[in-house]
Amino acid sequence: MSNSGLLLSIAKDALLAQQYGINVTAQNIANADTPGYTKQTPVFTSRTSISYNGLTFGSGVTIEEIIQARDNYLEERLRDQGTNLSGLEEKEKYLSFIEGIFNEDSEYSLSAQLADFWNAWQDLSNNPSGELERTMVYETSSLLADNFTYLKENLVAIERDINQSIEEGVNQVNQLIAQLASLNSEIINLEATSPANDLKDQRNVILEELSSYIDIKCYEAGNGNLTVLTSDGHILVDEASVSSILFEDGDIKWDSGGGTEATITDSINGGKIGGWLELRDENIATYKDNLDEFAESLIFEVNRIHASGVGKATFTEVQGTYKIGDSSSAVNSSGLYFQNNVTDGSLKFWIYDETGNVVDLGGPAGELPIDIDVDLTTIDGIVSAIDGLGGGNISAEVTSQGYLKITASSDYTFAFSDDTSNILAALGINTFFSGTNADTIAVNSCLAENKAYIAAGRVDSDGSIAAGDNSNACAIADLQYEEISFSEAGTTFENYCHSLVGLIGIHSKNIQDQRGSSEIIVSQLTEMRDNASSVSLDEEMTNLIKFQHAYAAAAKLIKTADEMLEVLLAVR
Amino acid sequence: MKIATRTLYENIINNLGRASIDLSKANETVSTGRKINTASDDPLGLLSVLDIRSSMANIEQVGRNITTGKLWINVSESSLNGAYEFLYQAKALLVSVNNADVEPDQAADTLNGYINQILSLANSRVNDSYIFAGTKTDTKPFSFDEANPDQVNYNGNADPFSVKVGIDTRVTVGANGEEIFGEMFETLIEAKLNIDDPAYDIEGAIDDIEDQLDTLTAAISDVTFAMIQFDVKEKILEDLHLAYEDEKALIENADINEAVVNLKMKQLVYETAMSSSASVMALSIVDYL
Repeated sequence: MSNSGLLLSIAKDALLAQQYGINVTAQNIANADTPGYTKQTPVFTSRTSISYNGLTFGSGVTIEEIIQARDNYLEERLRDQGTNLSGLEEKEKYLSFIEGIFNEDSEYSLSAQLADFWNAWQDLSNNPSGELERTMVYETSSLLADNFTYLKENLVAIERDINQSIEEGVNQVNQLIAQLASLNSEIINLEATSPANDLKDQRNVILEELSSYIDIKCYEAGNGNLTVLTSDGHILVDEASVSSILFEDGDIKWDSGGGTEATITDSINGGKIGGWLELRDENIATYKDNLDEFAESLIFEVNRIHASGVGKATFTEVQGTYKIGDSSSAVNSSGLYFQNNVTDGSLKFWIYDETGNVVDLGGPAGELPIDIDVDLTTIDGIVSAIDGLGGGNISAEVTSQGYLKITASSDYTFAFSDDTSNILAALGINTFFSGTNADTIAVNSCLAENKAYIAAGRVDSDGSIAAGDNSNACAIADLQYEEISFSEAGTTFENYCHSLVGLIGIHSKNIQDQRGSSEIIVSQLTEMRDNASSVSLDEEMTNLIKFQHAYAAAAKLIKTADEMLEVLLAVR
Repeated sequence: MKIATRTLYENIINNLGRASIDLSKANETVSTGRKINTASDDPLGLLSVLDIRSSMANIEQVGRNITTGKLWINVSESSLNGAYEFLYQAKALLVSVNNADVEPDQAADTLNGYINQILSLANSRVNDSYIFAGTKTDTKPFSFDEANPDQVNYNGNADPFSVKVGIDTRVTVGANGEEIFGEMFETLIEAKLNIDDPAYDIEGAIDDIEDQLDTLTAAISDVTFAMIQFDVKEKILEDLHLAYEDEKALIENADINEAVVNLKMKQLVYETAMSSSASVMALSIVDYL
């Protein structure tokens, strides 16, 4: 090969190589702000040298490959932290929403209404026969009951929202898995001949999105195949084959596609879906339980005292609010919701004739003492003890719907007192609240119709009833100071309420703090990854000038070779 | 080492974002004057605030109970003082009759007037509640017997009305009227009926009235003592309320000087971040090529 021929060939290589260099730089500049784009660099290598006249000459340049500045370790850490962060972000969002619902900074907050509730009873104790005070007790209690229901409904609505989000998230995950699988097969095909840089960038973006939904593990094989697994090792994608996840009955299931299923709810600990699951199964479940327990205890404790009291008027008719399952069984297996709160004890039943005098039923002051033995006494037994009393003017029955009903006729009335067994509270007779939890709590409907039945006083030991007796109202107001045994620990209603609100605040603050630090970690890792893999315009512009100059120099080489040939041709 | 262009711009976005969040939080503190605006701002602080608020609501309620109590006590005190006055007059009258300074039949009329006055005082009411009827506050406690107009019946009961001033603590503000007025009416009616009877033991009646005046004095001092109890309790509650108010403010309210300085600082940080970001963004190698 002639010398000038070699020169031309080198110059041609150089022109091409610098042009490719400019192309790569152009691609980098174009993608300076493309998420997931990894900076590409041409790898120049000099061609094998050749020997000529005992001398060794280089024979030009070639671009061997275009490499990506990818740091797999950083990518993986970033993905893990990203999973963590997106879970925390979802939790923060919902928790601050829940905080808003339990807004303690208003007069309508649960704790403010609870205070109003106790105070209304004290106001009633100051004027036990007052209509206004009775109405206030009723209104304040209705608001309190409504607030319980409102809070519970909102928690349930958020739970429903979350389930919907999970369902959408699961669909999204399945789509992403399918995209990964199809990219996998394209990459494997392409990698057989050349690096599949841009496809890998695309796959990375999808992988990052997938990891924002659930925590995953993945491995890349030499042939370009990416295997993706759930955190507990179920394969989601391998080469072109996919499995899917399903959302069924609140649980996330893995479906191999070949008939094998596994429940993986508990092993999803990160990502949006992980965050949603934790919110639903831990946070909201706890708040709901606490709210229900609070409402249930309040209902029973207030009823327990109320049922032994008497209002301004004695009853002409009363119907229980709790359903009896089996009236012929002993009280503790009667199917009453509060059957286990009934203890051995007794109560007094009083009947008044049309002039308001006590009808003698045999007790020391004319009352009918009813003994309750939880293992022996049946509701039917109680019914038959009362039915037909007062010369047939009192009748008692278990209604076809399963509620105890007592009715008086001929202007006769009746009342209850001294119930040490809690049977009245369990039956819902002469009770203040009805319902059993935060959804169902309400003021007993018979009080809505006749506020005279709000029991501020008690039947005296001689059967008389005094309009100014405030002992029962005071006893109910005193409940606020009493230690109530809740499942976790004994505490007052007030403290229980405050702890619930405090707990939400603490959860919310913890998540905010965790999200804050996770965000910093993610942004540091992103910075590290981007500095290594992303485009710096300064660098690219410098490279561009470098390639441009080299291109100009290569052109100069061609001109030189041309001139040299001309000189030769001019020689005759 | 180099900084990717993306990183440069993302850092600017993040930093400006963070500075603006800080600024808005500082502004919220200044404009609401409060440190705790949501539960998560300071959950433990909020817990204390909630406890304090409940205690304050409780104190305010006890305050209302005491107001009711004082009303009863005031009416009670003036009724008892009035009754004392009339009874004392009655005693003076009997003494005069005994000294033959006054004609007996003239005295009977005057006594009848006293009986009616005392009866009306014994039936005193506060907001439609009879205060000397025990807890039968809706029943007029004293009335002349329908069959025998020379007999006064007690229709109340023996449990005096009370108001709640604390856990399990009640102060009696009403009274069992029979204890105070029962014998008084008996003695006075007997005197009225028999005063012109020479065999009537008028000195015995004067002694009885002396005893009844003592009963009234005791009842008046009970009432006065209850009033003192209320006053003391009210003062304590007022102080306690103030103390809670202070404590609550300490937890809940922002130190406004500190908050304003903080706001100024955040504002400065934000402005600096914006100006430095703007100058960094303006830099490009392209301008120099």
